Amino acid sequence: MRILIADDEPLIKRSLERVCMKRGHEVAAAMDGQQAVELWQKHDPEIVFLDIRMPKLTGLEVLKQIKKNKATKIILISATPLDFQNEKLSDLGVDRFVKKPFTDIEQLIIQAEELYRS
Amino acid sequence: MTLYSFLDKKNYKLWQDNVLSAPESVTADVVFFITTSNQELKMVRKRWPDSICFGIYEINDHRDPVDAWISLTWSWTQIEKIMQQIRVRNSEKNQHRIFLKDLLAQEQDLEDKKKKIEIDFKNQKNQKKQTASNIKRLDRFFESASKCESLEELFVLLTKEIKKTDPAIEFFVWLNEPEKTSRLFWLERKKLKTTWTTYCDDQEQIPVALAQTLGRPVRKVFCEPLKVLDMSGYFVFECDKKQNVEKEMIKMIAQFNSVINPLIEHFILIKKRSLMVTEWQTVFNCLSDGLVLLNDRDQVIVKNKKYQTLDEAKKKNLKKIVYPVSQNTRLEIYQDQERILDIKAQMAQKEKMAQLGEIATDLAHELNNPLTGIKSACQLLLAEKGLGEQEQEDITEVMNAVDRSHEIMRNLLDFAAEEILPTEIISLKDTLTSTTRLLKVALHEHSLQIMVPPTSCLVRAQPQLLQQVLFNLLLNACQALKSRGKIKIWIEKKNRNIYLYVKDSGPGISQEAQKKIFEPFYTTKAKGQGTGLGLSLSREIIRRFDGDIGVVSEEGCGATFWFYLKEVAEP
Repeated sequence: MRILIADDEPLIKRSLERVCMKRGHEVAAAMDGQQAVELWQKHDPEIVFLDIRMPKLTGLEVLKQIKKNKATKIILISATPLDFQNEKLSDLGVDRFVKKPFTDIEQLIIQAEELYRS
Repeated sequence: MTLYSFLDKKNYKLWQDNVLSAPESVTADVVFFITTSNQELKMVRKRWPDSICFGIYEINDHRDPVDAWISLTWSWTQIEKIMQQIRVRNSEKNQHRIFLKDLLAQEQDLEDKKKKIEIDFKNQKNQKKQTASNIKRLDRFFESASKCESLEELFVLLTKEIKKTDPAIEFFVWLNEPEKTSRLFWLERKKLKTTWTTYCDDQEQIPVALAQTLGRPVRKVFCEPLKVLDMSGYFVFECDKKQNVEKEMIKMIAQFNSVINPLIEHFILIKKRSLMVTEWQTVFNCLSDGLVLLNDRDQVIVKNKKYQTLDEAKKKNLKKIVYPVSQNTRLEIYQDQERILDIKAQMAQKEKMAQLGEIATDLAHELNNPLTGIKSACQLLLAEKGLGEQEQEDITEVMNAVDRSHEIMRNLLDFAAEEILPTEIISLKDTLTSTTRLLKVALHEHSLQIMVPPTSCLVRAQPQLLQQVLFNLLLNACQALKSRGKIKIWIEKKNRNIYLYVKDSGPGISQEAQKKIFEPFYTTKAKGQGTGLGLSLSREIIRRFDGDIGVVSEEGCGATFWFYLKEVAEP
């Protein structure tokens, strides 16, 4: 599967990248919101892991700029639900919200794969 | 903010000189001075008793020493708050002094009035060209009037005198007070009646206003103007239409006036004075400082309730301030400096908490990110093949450290939670039972003794938060016991409060540690065992529900933590 990872924390980005590659996915990783938009348009990912607080563009701003392919599954990642308290996630096309800290990174990827298949 | 921008913003004036040689006429809210000697500090505080004095030490950098010192210790916001408190305090003190002076002046005034009445009385008597019977009548009236002891008596006398001329006449006094309200006085079944009424300073309108006030039609009404102190008004007569007594009445009132007027003044002043005294005494008694008014022979004129509780030994521990009130009276104030310092410390603590709350949310969020990264990377490393046992253990330790950091963060966020959760009436006894059940495993090792009263001990609190407090106290007790020990928990009712005690047989807590134990991030536990937030969070919670928390301990004899909440009556 084609997976896009957008997180400005290098260790999180790297870990997600490694697990995805280990499981045989094609991965693109962005360090900020603007890069995320560019890579999204270029790769047309099937699964997107999107952090909210990022430099240049926030995850929510990225979603507003992207013309979403209906099949793409979007998993929003944030440390606090306060970040999107004024937004309706379903209107932005978000399929799932994952709160940081997450306990098991491999499990996170497996769940995303299942979500895509369903 | 710097010293100068602070002064500019708040419009404060800066005065710079040697603090010890400053002339007495110079006053200040805040005094900063550079010193390292305690002796000097004491001298400065003595010279500036009404100011807040900061002894500051020089810090070698390019900034103003005050700025440098503030940046290391207090904040300008804190200084501002303390200054406001000091100002309120000082102005309260001044008010008492002004009040006392007023009171003494009033007494003098009353004395003067009385003398004036006597003189007027004599003059009136000596007035020539009075008919013999009239003089007799006036004499009799003045004699009786001067014996009157209240407004009521005077009115009875006056009304009687008027009714002697004609029993059908009704007599009223209409007083317009400076606050644009009016009062009506009259006699009904020999008792003085009074009622508030609409303001009326037009003689023509008095009959209508009188009818409205009494709620009945009035007969023929005529008035004679009256002036007492800063009030004006009318003597009002009501009689039958046919009667022609107007001239006679007005002549009579004119004759009586020289005595009636000052007497009414006198009685009104007495009433005002007694009201003032009651007000003042209440204020005087409610003050938390000991206050005593003394004359020049050191005799007590008046003392407040707090002063009555002070003996010589207690007085020695208090700061004494003396204010002259008049030539031969002085006011002594006994101030509890420790209490003031305590208030200051509490304020500083509150400020600290508020700042902590502000940064906690952001901090937690920012740190969560890298911590999540570290944990994920560790999980990946652990899954690598070919790791030695030693490496695996190291990585697991790193992951545990991350978990603990998350725990600290969660506690911080609890602390910062601004929203006030809804409270309920709950049974402290039930909360205790459910908490001991939660801690079954930890408590199992020790001998546990619980004593509770038969009633349900209702308090008003938020159930989860209250349980967290109990949880913290019980867990602390368990952790204080290295090996098998005793934990005793009991609930007591005292002065409409419900107290809960948790006593452990552990090593106890030193006096030094007791002072700091409720401060955030203070912990005596080994690294990793506690976040140092449990007790400070507990205190925050208990205080939020209008209670308090504390500890009693002696080193080597265990520790007893207690808290209380207000008792809610059983339904």
